Amino acid sequence: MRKIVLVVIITLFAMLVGCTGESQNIRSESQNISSASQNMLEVNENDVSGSGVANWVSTAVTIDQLAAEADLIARVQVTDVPSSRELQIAAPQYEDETVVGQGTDSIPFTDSEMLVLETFKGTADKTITVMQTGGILIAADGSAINIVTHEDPIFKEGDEYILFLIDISDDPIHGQGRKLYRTVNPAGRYLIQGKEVFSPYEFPESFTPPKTVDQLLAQIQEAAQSE
Amino acid sequence: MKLRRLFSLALGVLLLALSTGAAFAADYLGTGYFSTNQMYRCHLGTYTTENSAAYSKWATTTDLIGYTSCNSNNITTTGLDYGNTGWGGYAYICNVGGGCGNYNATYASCTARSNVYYLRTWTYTQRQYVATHELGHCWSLGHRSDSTSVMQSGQLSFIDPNATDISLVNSRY
Repeated sequence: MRKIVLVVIITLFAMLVGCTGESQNIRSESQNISSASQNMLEVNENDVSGSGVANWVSTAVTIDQLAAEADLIARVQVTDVPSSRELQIAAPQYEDETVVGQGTDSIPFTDSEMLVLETFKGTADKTITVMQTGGILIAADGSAINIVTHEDPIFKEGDEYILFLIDISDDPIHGQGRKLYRTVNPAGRYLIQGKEVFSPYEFPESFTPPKTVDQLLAQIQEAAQSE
Repeated sequence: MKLRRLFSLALGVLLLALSTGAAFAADYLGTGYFSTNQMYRCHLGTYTTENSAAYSKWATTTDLIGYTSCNSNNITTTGLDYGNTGWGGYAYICNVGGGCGNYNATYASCTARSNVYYLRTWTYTQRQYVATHELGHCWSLGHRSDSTSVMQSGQLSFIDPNATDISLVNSRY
Protein backbone atom coordinates (compact mmCIF):
# COMPACT_ATOMS: atom_id res chain seq x y z
CA MET A 1 0.00 0.00 0.00
CA ARG A 2 2.82 2.33 0.99
CA LYS A 3 4.52 1.67 -2.36
CA ILE A 4 1.35 2.62 -4.25
CA VAL A 5 0.99 5.84 -2.26
CA LEU A 6 4.65 6.61 -2.89
CA VAL A 7 4.23 6.10 -6.65
CA VAL A 8 1.16 8.37 -6.69
CA ILE A 9 3.02 11.08 -4.76
CA ILE A 10 5.98 10.87 -7.16
CA THR A 11 3.55 11.13 -10.11
CA LEU A 12 1.93 14.20 -8.57
CA PHE A 13 5.37 15.71 -8.00
CA ALA A 14 6.25 15.07 -11.65
CA MET A 15 3.00 16.79 -12.68
CA LEU A 16 3.93 19.81 -10.58
CA VAL A 17 7.37 19.93 -12.18
CA GLY A 18 5.65 19.78 -15.58
CA CYS A 19 3.50 22.76 -14.61
CA THR A 20 6.59 24.64 -13.54
CA GLY A 21 8.14 23.88 -16.91
CA GLU A 22 5.11 25.39 -18.61
CA SER A 23 5.44 28.47 -16.44
CA GLN A 24 9.02 28.76 -17.57
CA ASN A 25 7.86 28.63 -21.19
CA ILE A 26 5.36 31.35 -20.49
CA ARG A 27 8.00 33.37 -18.68
CA SER A 28 10.34 32.93 -21.63
CA GLU A 29 7.69 34.36 -23.96
CA SER A 30 6.95 37.14 -21.49
CA GLN A 31 10.59 38.06 -21.68
CA ASN A 32 10.20 38.20 -25.44
CA ILE A 33 7.23 40.50 -25.03
CA SER A 34 9.30 42.72 -22.78
CA SER A 35 12.16 42.65 -25.24
CA ALA A 36 9.81 43.56 -28.07
CA SER A 37 8.43 46.36 -25.96
CA GLN A 38 11.95 47.54 -25.21
CA ASN A 39 12.75 47.56 -28.92
CA MET A 40 9.70 49.70 -29.46
CA LEU A 41 10.56 51.91 -26.53
CA GLU A 42 13.81 52.81 -28.25
CA VAL A 43 11.69 54.42 -30.95
CA ASN A 44 10.09 56.85 -28.53
CA GLU A 45 10.71 57.16 -24.82
CA ASN A 46 7.09 58.16 -24.25
CA ASP A 47 5.77 54.86 -25.54
CA VAL A 48 3.66 52.75 -23.28
CA SER A 49 3.09 49.06 -23.72
CA GLY A 50 -0.26 47.57 -24.61
CA SER A 51 -1.94 44.44 -25.89
CA GLY A 52 -4.66 43.31 -28.24
CA VAL A 53 -6.64 40.07 -28.37
CA ALA A 54 -7.26 38.47 -31.76
CA ASN A 55 -9.86 35.95 -32.87
CA TRP A 56 -7.85 33.98 -35.44
CA VAL A 57 -9.58 32.79 -38.59
CA SER A 58 -7.47 29.65 -38.77
CA THR A 59 -8.02 27.19 -35.95
CA ALA A 60 -5.04 25.03 -36.95
CA VAL A 61 -3.03 23.93 -33.93
CA THR A 62 -1.40 20.58 -34.78
CA ILE A 63 1.65 20.41 -37.03
CA ASP A 64 -0.45 18.48 -39.58
CA GLN A 65 -3.11 21.19 -39.67
CA LEU A 66 -0.58 24.04 -39.80
CA ALA A 67 1.44 22.32 -42.55
CA ALA A 68 -1.69 21.79 -44.63
CA GLU A 69 -2.54 25.51 -44.52
CA ALA A 70 0.99 26.88 -44.88
CA ASP A 71 2.44 28.01 -48.23
CA LEU A 72 5.90 28.07 -46.71
CA ILE A 73 7.43 26.33 -43.70
CA ALA A 74 10.86 27.69 -42.91
CA ARG A 75 13.53 28.02 -40.28
CA VAL A 76 14.39 31.70 -40.17
CA GLN A 77 16.47 34.24 -38.29
CA VAL A 78 15.08 37.70 -37.68
CA THR A 79 17.48 40.28 -39.11
CA ASP A 80 15.49 43.48 -38.76
CA VAL A 81 12.39 44.62 -36.89
CA PRO A 82 11.67 48.03 -38.41
CA SER A 83 9.36 50.71 -37.05
CA SER A 84 5.75 49.77 -37.48
CA ARG A 85 3.48 51.26 -40.12
CA GLU A 86 0.05 52.56 -39.24
CA LEU A 87 -3.05 51.61 -41.19
CA GLN A 88 -5.64 54.38 -41.00
CA ILE A 89 -9.18 53.77 -42.22
CA ALA A 90 -11.75 56.55 -42.42
CA ALA A 91 -15.42 55.56 -42.21
CA PRO A 92 -18.83 56.90 -41.18
CA GLN A 93 -19.60 56.96 -37.45
CA TYR A 94 -22.90 55.50 -36.32
CA GLU A 95 -25.08 55.80 -33.25
CA ASP A 96 -27.14 52.64 -33.79
CA GLU A 97 -28.14 52.91 -37.46
CA THR A 98 -27.78 56.70 -37.74
CA VAL A 99 -24.71 58.36 -39.26
CA VAL A 100 -23.48 61.09 -36.93
CA GLY A 101 -20.13 61.96 -38.47
CA GLN A 102 -16.88 60.64 -39.85
CA GLY A 103 -14.22 58.82 -37.86
CA THR A 104 -10.89 57.07 -38.33
CA ASP A 105 -9.59 53.80 -36.96
CA SER A 106 -5.84 53.25 -36.74
CA ILE A 107 -3.95 50.04 -36.20
CA PRO A 108 -0.20 49.37 -36.44
CA PHE A 109 1.51 46.54 -38.31
CA THR A 110 5.15 45.44 -38.11
CA ASP A 111 6.94 43.87 -41.10
CA SER A 112 10.02 41.97 -39.89
CA GLU A 113 12.85 41.00 -42.21
CA MET A 114 14.09 37.43 -41.88
CA LEU A 115 16.93 35.37 -43.30
CA VAL A 116 15.71 31.99 -44.55
CA LEU A 117 17.99 29.28 -43.13
CA GLU A 118 16.08 26.20 -44.31
CA THR A 119 12.74 25.45 -45.96
CA PHE A 120 10.54 22.43 -45.22
CA LYS A 121 7.64 23.29 -47.53
CA GLY A 122 7.48 25.72 -50.43
CA THR A 123 10.25 27.87 -51.85
CA ALA A 124 11.43 31.29 -50.73
CA ASP A 125 13.98 33.99 -51.47
CA LYS A 126 17.02 34.29 -49.18
CA THR A 127 15.19 36.89 -47.17
CA ILE A 128 11.47 37.24 -46.50
CA THR A 129 9.19 39.80 -44.88
CA VAL A 130 6.69 38.63 -42.26
CA MET A 131 3.81 40.86 -41.16
CA GLN A 132 2.36 40.98 -37.65
CA THR A 133 -0.49 42.99 -36.21
CA GLY A 134 0.98 45.29 -33.58
CA GLY A 135 3.58 47.96 -33.04
CA ILE A 136 3.51 51.64 -32.21
CA LEU A 137 0.26 53.53 -32.59
CA ILE A 138 0.16 57.31 -32.20
CA ALA A 139 -2.99 58.24 -30.26
CA ALA A 140 -5.12 61.33 -30.85
CA ASP A 141 -3.37 63.16 -27.98
CA GLY A 142 0.04 62.48 -29.56
CA SER A 143 1.06 59.78 -27.10
CA ALA A 144 2.45 56.51 -28.44
CA ILE A 145 0.72 53.23 -27.69
CA ASN A 146 2.67 50.01 -28.11
CA ILE A 147 0.17 47.37 -29.22
CA VAL A 148 1.32 43.78 -28.80
CA THR A 149 -1.04 41.01 -29.84
CA HIS A 150 -1.72 38.44 -27.13
CA GLU A 151 -0.03 35.12 -28.03
CA ASP A 152 1.83 36.84 -30.89
CA PRO A 153 4.53 39.18 -29.52
CA ILE A 154 6.55 41.12 -32.08
CA PHE A 155 9.50 39.07 -33.34
CA LYS A 156 12.85 39.90 -31.79
CA GLU A 157 15.93 40.68 -33.85
CA GLY A 158 18.47 37.85 -33.74
CA ASP A 159 15.96 35.17 -32.68
CA GLU A 160 15.47 31.98 -34.68
CA TYR A 161 12.06 30.54 -35.42
CA ILE A 162 10.37 27.78 -37.35
CA LEU A 163 7.39 29.47 -38.98
CA PHE A 164 4.30 28.19 -40.80
CA LEU A 165 3.60 31.00 -43.25
CA ILE A 166 0.90 32.11 -45.66
CA ASP A 167 1.78 34.19 -48.70
CA ILE A 168 -0.26 37.41 -48.57
CA SER A 169 1.60 39.24 -51.34
CA ASP A 170 -1.64 39.71 -53.28
CA ASP A 171 -3.37 41.50 -50.40
CA PRO A 172 -4.23 44.97 -51.75
CA ILE A 173 -3.86 46.63 -48.35
CA HIS A 174 -0.60 45.12 -47.08
CA GLY A 175 1.02 43.46 -50.10
CA GLN A 176 1.56 46.56 -52.21
CA GLY A 177 3.55 44.77 -54.89
CA ARG A 178 6.01 43.08 -52.51
CA LYS A 179 6.48 39.51 -51.33
CA LEU A 180 4.84 39.36 -47.90
CA TYR A 181 3.98 36.59 -45.46
CA ARG A 182 2.14 36.17 -42.18
CA THR A 183 1.93 33.13 -39.90
CA VAL A 184 -1.11 30.85 -40.30
CA ASN A 185 -1.90 31.91 -36.72
CA PRO A 186 0.34 32.22 -33.63
CA ALA A 187 0.30 28.42 -33.19
CA GLY A 188 2.47 28.47 -36.32
CA ARG A 189 5.47 30.12 -34.68
CA TYR A 190 8.06 28.21 -32.69
CA LEU A 191 10.97 30.06 -31.10
CA ILE A 192 14.17 28.01 -31.17
CA GLN A 193 16.35 28.15 -28.08
CA GLY A 194 19.14 25.59 -28.27
CA LYS A 195 17.52 22.22 -28.78
CA GLU A 196 14.16 23.37 -27.45
CA VAL A 197 11.24 25.14 -29.10
CA PHE A 198 8.73 27.44 -27.44
CA SER A 199 5.35 28.71 -28.51
CA PRO A 200 3.42 31.66 -27.05
CA TYR A 201 0.14 30.07 -28.16
CA GLU A 202 -2.35 28.82 -25.57
CA PHE A 203 -2.91 25.35 -27.01
CA PRO A 204 -6.06 23.39 -26.19
CA GLU A 205 -5.56 20.70 -23.55
CA SER A 206 -6.14 18.04 -26.22
CA PHE A 207 -2.87 18.91 -28.00
CA THR A 208 0.66 18.74 -26.62
CA PRO A 209 2.97 20.88 -28.76
CA PRO A 210 6.48 19.66 -29.61
CA LYS A 211 9.08 20.70 -27.06
CA THR A 212 12.28 20.15 -29.02
CA VAL A 213 13.56 21.03 -32.48
CA ASP A 214 13.89 17.32 -33.26
CA GLN A 215 10.28 16.61 -32.28
CA LEU A 216 9.03 19.56 -34.34
CA LEU A 217 11.05 18.61 -37.42
CA ALA A 218 9.94 14.98 -37.17
CA GLN A 219 6.30 16.10 -37.06
CA ILE A 220 6.83 18.46 -40.01
CA GLN A 221 8.38 15.63 -42.01
CA GLU A 222 5.49 13.35 -41.12
CA ALA A 223 3.00 16.00 -42.16
CA ALA A 224 4.82 16.58 -45.46
CA GLN A 225 4.75 12.84 -46.24
CA SER A 226 1.04 12.56 -45.56
CA GLU A 227 0.20 15.46 -47.91
CA MET B 1 -3.01 5.64 7.93
CA LYS B 2 -1.21 8.94 8.50
CA LEU B 3 0.39 8.61 5.10
CA ARG B 4 -3.01 8.10 3.50
CA ARG B 5 -4.41 11.24 5.15
CA LEU B 6 -1.37 13.22 4.10
CA PHE B 7 -1.77 11.99 0.56
CA SER B 8 -5.48 12.94 0.45
CA LEU B 9 -4.69 16.40 1.77
CA ALA B 10 -1.88 16.93 -0.74
CA LEU B 11 -4.07 15.74 -3.59
CA GLY B 12 -6.93 18.03 -2.54
CA VAL B 13 -4.67 21.08 -2.29
CA LEU B 14 -3.07 20.31 -5.65
CA LEU B 15 -6.36 19.85 -7.49
CA LEU B 16 -7.80 23.02 -5.93
CA ALA B 17 -4.73 25.04 -6.88
CA LEU B 18 -4.70 23.74 -10.44
CA SER B 19 -8.43 24.20 -11.03
CA THR B 20 -8.50 27.71 -9.54
CA GLY B 21 -5.52 28.84 -11.58
CA ALA B 22 -6.85 27.35 -14.80
CA ALA B 23 -10.32 28.82 -14.34
CA PHE B 24 -8.99 32.30 -13.68
CA ALA B 25 -6.52 32.20 -16.55
CA ALA B 26 -9.16 31.10 -19.04
CA ASP B 27 -12.17 33.10 -17.91
CA TYR B 28 -10.78 36.63 -17.62
CA LEU B 29 -8.08 38.57 -19.42
CA GLY B 30 -6.88 39.81 -16.02
CA THR B 31 -8.12 41.50 -12.87
CA GLY B 32 -9.00 44.83 -14.53
CA TYR B 33 -12.35 46.02 -15.86
CA PHE B 34 -14.40 49.21 -16.26
CA SER B 35 -15.25 51.00 -13.01
CA THR B 36 -18.81 51.52 -14.27
CA ASN B 37 -21.46 49.27 -15.76
CA GLN B 38 -22.67 52.11 -18.05
CA MET B 39 -21.28 51.71 -21.55
CA TYR B 40 -21.45 54.24 -24.40
CA ARG B 41 -20.82 52.78 -27.82
CA CYS B 42 -19.92 54.39 -31.14
CA HIS B 43 -19.71 52.31 -34.31
CA LEU B 44 -17.40 52.87 -37.27
CA GLY B 45 -17.98 51.42 -40.74
CA THR B 46 -20.21 48.56 -41.83
CA TYR B 47 -22.00 45.72 -39.91
CA THR B 48 -23.94 48.21 -37.80
CA THR B 49 -26.84 45.79 -37.32
CA GLU B 50 -24.66 42.86 -36.27
CA ASN B 51 -22.78 45.01 -33.76
CA SER B 52 -25.97 46.62 -32.41
CA ALA B 53 -27.48 43.16 -31.92
CA ALA B 54 -24.33 41.91 -30.19
CA TYR B 55 -24.25 44.95 -27.89
CA SER B 56 -27.94 44.47 -27.05
CA LYS B 57 -27.36 40.82 -26.21
CA TRP B 58 -24.83 41.69 -23.53
CA ALA B 59 -26.90 44.61 -22.23
CA THR B 60 -30.12 42.62 -21.94
CA THR B 61 -28.63 39.48 -20.41
CA THR B 62 -26.13 41.03 -17.97
CA ASP B 63 -26.00 43.92 -15.50
CA LEU B 64 -24.32 46.11 -18.13
CA ILE B 65 -26.28 49.14 -19.34
CA GLY B 66 -25.68 49.88 -23.01
CA TYR B 67 -26.08 53.36 -24.49
CA THR B 68 -24.98 54.67 -27.86
CA SER B 69 -22.92 57.84 -28.19
CA CYS B 70 -20.09 59.01 -30.40
CA ASN B 71 -19.35 62.05 -28.21
CA SER B 72 -18.07 60.47 -25.04
CA ASN B 73 -17.95 56.78 -25.86
CA ASN B 74 -15.91 54.24 -23.93
CA ILE B 75 -16.71 51.45 -26.42
CA THR B 76 -15.93 51.56 -30.15
CA THR B 77 -17.07 48.80 -32.47
CA THR B 78 -15.95 48.66 -36.10
CA GLY B 79 -16.68 46.86 -39.34
CA LEU B 80 -13.72 47.72 -41.58
CA ASP B 81 -11.38 46.05 -44.07
CA TYR B 82 -8.06 45.51 -42.28
CA GLY B 83 -6.78 43.15 -45.01
CA ASN B 84 -5.36 39.62 -44.85
CA THR B 85 -4.24 39.82 -41.22
CA GLY B 86 -5.24 36.32 -40.10
CA TRP B 87 -7.85 37.60 -37.63
CA GLY B 88 -11.57 38.11 -38.05
CA GLY B 89 -11.91 40.07 -34.81
CA TYR B 90 -9.50 42.10 -32.71
CA ALA B 91 -10.05 43.86 -29.41
CA TYR B 92 -7.85 46.06 -27.32
CA ILE B 93 -8.43 48.03 -24.18
CA CYS B 94 -6.90 51.26 -22.86
CA ASN B 95 -6.53 52.09 -19.20
CA VAL B 96 -7.47 54.88 -16.83
CA GLY B 97 -4.40 57.07 -16.26
CA GLY B 98 -2.98 56.48 -19.74
CA GLY B 99 -1.56 53.52 -21.56
CA CYS B 100 -3.28 50.54 -23.10
CA GLY B 101 -3.36 46.80 -22.75
CA ASN B 102 -2.88 46.42 -19.00
CA TYR B 103 -5.52 43.81 -18.27
CA ASN B 104 -4.93 44.20 -14.54
CA ALA B 105 -5.64 47.95 -14.40
CA THR B 106 -8.97 49.81 -14.64
CA TYR B 107 -10.32 50.05 -18.19
CA ALA B 108 -10.97 53.47 -19.77
CA SER B 109 -12.01 52.36 -23.27
CA CYS B 110 -12.22 49.36 -25.53
CA THR B 111 -12.19 48.92 -29.31
CA ALA B 112 -13.82 45.77 -30.76
CA ARG B 113 -12.98 45.29 -34.44
CA SER B 114 -14.61 43.13 -37.10
CA ASN B 115 -12.44 42.50 -40.16
CA VAL B 116 -14.50 42.88 -43.34
CA TYR B 117 -11.74 41.15 -45.34
CA TYR B 118 -12.92 37.80 -43.93
CA LEU B 119 -16.38 38.58 -42.65
CA ARG B 120 -17.73 39.69 -46.05
CA THR B 121 -18.06 36.02 -47.00
CA TRP B 122 -19.41 34.94 -43.60
CA THR B 123 -23.08 34.72 -42.70
CA TYR B 124 -24.92 37.36 -40.69
CA THR B 125 -24.94 34.94 -37.73
CA GLN B 126 -21.19 34.38 -37.92
CA ARG B 127 -20.56 38.13 -38.07
CA GLN B 128 -22.74 38.50 -34.99
CA TYR B 129 -20.61 35.89 -33.22
CA VAL B 130 -17.45 37.90 -33.94
CA ALA B 131 -19.07 41.13 -32.69
CA THR B 132 -20.39 39.45 -29.53
CA HIS B 133 -17.05 37.72 -28.88
CA GLU B 134 -15.00 40.91 -29.27
CA LEU B 135 -17.36 42.84 -26.98
CA GLY B 136 -16.88 40.04 -24.44
CA HIS B 137 -13.20 41.01 -24.32
CA CYS B 138 -14.30 44.59 -23.59
CA TRP B 139 -16.06 43.26 -20.48
CA SER B 140 -12.70 41.62 -19.53
CA LEU B 141 -13.54 38.07 -20.57
CA GLY B 142 -10.70 35.98 -21.98
CA HIS B 143 -10.81 33.07 -24.43
CA ARG B 144 -12.77 30.32 -22.70
CA SER B 145 -12.39 26.59 -23.27
CA ASP B 146 -16.14 26.00 -22.71
CA SER B 147 -17.35 24.82 -26.14
CA THR B 148 -20.77 26.48 -25.74
CA SER B 149 -19.29 29.84 -24.76
CA VAL B 150 -19.33 32.75 -27.18
CA MET B 151 -15.84 33.43 -25.82
CA GLN B 152 -14.39 30.22 -27.20
CA SER B 153 -12.09 31.32 -29.99
CA GLY B 154 -12.75 30.05 -33.49
CA GLN B 155 -16.16 28.40 -33.01
CA LEU B 156 -18.98 29.91 -35.05
CA SER B 157 -21.96 27.98 -33.69
CA PHE B 158 -22.71 29.48 -30.28
CA ILE B 159 -23.34 33.15 -30.87
CA ASP B 160 -25.05 34.03 -27.58
CA PRO B 161 -23.43 34.47 -24.17
CA ASN B 162 -24.14 31.33 -22.14
CA ALA B 163 -25.04 31.25 -18.44
CA THR B 164 -21.40 31.18 -17.33
CA ASP B 165 -20.41 34.05 -19.66
CA ILE B 166 -23.24 36.09 -18.16
CA SER B 167 -22.34 35.14 -14.62
CA LEU B 168 -18.68 36.05 -15.20
CA VAL B 169 -19.67 39.51 -16.46
CA ASN B 170 -22.13 40.06 -13.64
CA SER B 171 -19.57 39.15 -11.03
CA ARG B 172 -17.62 42.22 -12.16
CA TYR B 173 -20.43 44.63 -12.97
